[in-house]
Amino acid sequence: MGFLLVDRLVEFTPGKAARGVFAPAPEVVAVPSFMVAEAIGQLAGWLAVEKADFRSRPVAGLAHEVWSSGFTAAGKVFDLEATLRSYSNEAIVYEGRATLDGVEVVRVTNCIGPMLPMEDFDDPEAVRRRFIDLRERGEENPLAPDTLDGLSLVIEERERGKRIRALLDVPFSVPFFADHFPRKPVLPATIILDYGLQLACDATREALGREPEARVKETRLRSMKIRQFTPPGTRLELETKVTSASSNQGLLSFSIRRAPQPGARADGEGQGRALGTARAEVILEQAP
Amino acid sequence: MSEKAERMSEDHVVTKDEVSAVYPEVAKAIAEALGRDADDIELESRLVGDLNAESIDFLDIVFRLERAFRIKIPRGEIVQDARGDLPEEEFAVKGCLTEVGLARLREYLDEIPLENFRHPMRVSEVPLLFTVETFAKLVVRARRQGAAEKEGQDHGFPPR
Repeated sequence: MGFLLVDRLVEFTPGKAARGVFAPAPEVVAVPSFMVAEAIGQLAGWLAVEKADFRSRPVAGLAHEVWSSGFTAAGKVFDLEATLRSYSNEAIVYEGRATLDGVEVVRVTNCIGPMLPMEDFDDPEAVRRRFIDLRERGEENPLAPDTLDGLSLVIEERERGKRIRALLDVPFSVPFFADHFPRKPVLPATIILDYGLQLACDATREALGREPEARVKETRLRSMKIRQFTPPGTRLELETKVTSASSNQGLLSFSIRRAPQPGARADGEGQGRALGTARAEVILEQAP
Repeated sequence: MSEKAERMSEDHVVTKDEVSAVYPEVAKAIAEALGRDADDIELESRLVGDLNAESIDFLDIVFRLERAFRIKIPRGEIVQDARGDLPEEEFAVKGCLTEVGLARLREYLDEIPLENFRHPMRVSEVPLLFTVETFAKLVVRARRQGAAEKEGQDHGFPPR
């Protein structure tokens, strides 16, 4: 079960642009939008890694906007595109999109990924071989339905229509840590953000007085920033607050903090600065 | 002061009026990047020491300034600019600023109190010195550079 989401590199213009394919296993009924955004980021990552001659790699940092339509994608293949807007030893700026049957479903704009030494995360030569494989024949290690098993989000506090606070416990061992990353296992920021987006959608439904199963038409996360890595065994506190809600739209803020471990003093690490922040916009389908 | 250092200062002097002109937009970008109220930001505020900025925040701030002022700020510009035409090995050795390198930096970052410069000082520690004014000056210089390049292009000269 892998977390290397680009399954094939279809086109590759070094240092500039790439096209690829993300093909989750057919049994995956619902592909989270942020998993698709992760795939786009990994595609841009290949552009940066190749340009750095496999000596450094980008990690999640900032995104001006991540837009997603409320798509369903069971058994489908995503076509990915990524463009490197700028590259330096310090960071890359990229953008990209994913389409399903030619229709855009996820778009990421002005993403900034800090570049860090490859050796801290993975064996550079193994990454180089993987890159060659992806270009020549692709990989057969699709995203599996049980990829996120072992992670659990527990709602701790709910002020209906105003805010939701939840805890996310990161296990010490889950299979995708083998890919993310072999030498430094950390929870992908996109997974945290996907949980945050779920909370934002729930809070929007509650704020608008809509039923829990009301469908999401589109979402936007703006000014997204991840300040720190989340290692195994971390307890995170996710909180979303409704800024405004009217018609079918909710505007929210979202923050991620390190929460005290069970039994730890309440004034411990959890009271610190947010390790991640974003603003969210959720638009629901019209009520029937 | 060495002759090279004197040459560097002539190119990089930024007036208080120039700083004042860009300050409101710079303060706004920094406040937004750090999720703070504009009232929290002052010209002398240290990004790390006073405003708790982290390395990712520096990237965010520079990106916001580039968009707000339609300028290009190369990554690592402050240290590169401070070094100027000084050979790299005269500026820093094994990641530590030399005497000459430190003198260059003090002169370039003249908005920062002298007591804040440590000796020895690692190049990686330089961002700890940055204040809001440092970024305002960065914007002023980038705008000058952009204007100079545009003028050069208008006259058929290649960009510097």
